[in-house]
Amino acid sequence: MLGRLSFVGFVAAFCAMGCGGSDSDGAQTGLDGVWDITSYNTGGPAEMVISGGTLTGYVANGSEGKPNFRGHPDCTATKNRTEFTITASGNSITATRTSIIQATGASCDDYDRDYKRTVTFTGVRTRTAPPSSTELNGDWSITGEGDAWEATVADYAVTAKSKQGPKRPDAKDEDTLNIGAAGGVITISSTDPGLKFAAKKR
Amino acid sequence: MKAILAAAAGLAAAIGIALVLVRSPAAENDFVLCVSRASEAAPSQSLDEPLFAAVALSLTDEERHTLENVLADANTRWEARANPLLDDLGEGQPDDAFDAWLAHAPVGVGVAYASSSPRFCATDGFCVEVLMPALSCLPGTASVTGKDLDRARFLAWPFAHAVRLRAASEADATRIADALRAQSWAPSSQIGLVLQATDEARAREAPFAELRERFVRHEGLKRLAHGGASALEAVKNDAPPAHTSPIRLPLREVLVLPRLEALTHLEAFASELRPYR
Repeated sequence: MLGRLSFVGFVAAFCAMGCGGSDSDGAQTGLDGVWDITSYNTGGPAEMVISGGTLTGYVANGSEGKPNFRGHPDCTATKNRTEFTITASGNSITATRTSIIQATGASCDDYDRDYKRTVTFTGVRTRTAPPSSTELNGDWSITGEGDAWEATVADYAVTAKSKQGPKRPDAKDEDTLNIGAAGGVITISSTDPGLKFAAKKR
Repeated sequence: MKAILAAAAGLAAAIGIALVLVRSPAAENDFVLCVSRASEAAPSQSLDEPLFAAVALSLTDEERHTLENVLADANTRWEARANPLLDDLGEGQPDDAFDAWLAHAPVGVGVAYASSSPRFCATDGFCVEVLMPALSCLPGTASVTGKDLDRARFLAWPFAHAVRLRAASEADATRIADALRAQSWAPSSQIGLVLQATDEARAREAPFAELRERFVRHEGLKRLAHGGASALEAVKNDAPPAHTSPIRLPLREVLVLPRLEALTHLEAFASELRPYR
């Protein structure tokens, strides 16, 4: 059932290693809760929430809440953000990414007044590899936004390759993403320079 | 592609993190972190003079030339918008190409923009301001203590984890800064951006002056288009964007800001700098 087993569900397998309780300093070590997110280019506040086996979050654009949206003097973007959800269950994963713009003011462009677009990605594990730091190791087939990818998860590295090849001659069709975890912080960095962020539980 | 990777990585990382929740090591600098509760959004980010100069000196020749061309095109569009006698006939927004360049810019550019905010805020209004060492928190803010410290350091990561190196002389500091900049080009490096007191003067000279002129003009024109009263004067007077970062460096000092990834590789970051201590 979608959402029943996602992050926390997966983490249950690791609880024997100390998650979900408190460390010797009393610090909470479970994943449920609110996480701060920071990055090079969010420009605005960002967070994710892990609760009941589902991850939700948003990244606000730096222009959110500020006047002069898109250079229009009487236009404020009350919302300009990307919202995301991720659920995983055993050998499947579903993720959504929703772009939202809500702008108010006399000079706003009409399409900025209430813009919303959601893209859904789904993935199925096609080969299971022995778990290590995660239980997601193996090969995944992922589809969404009119494209399809083959992804391989191996410990703290994820490689994804488009089945359709690059969309433009100068574009890449493969990315490798590395995950770091230390000091209560996780970092995500990819060969695509635009994707880098860090998260820390409050 | 990004969303797919983010989703997959989010899963893997979220699981892995449970195993490594320990306290962060102490930072090797004495920036003052002040916390507050802010209801208003932080001001827009723009690179001030020290950050821009450090970026200019960190680019390769090819990267610098590309950025010069992108800014020249953007400035033409902004000038057309600012002049009532001209029409901007281009498609899209004037900064579309600049934004695209930023999205794939060298790591130092990202670190500079991340460092440019006067306030680092979370979604619940918890905000951190960074002050130079020995300064006192401003009214309405408080020195960070207790369990807020880790969170404040995470949000204000470029400064909270920065390392300040003290050289024997100003010339030595410049040599060290240049060496570290070259080192930062390696993909495996944890160095994000290197700053030194002579950067601003050097950025006004060849071969960086052209880039600086176009950047200053770009920022001024953009503010003018957005209704900034002093923007035109700023462009005319070659004035840099107002100081926003807390960076005021003594002449013999080199400030090294980490990459974002260094937050989980602080030992590697420290190791890279060890030869210069």
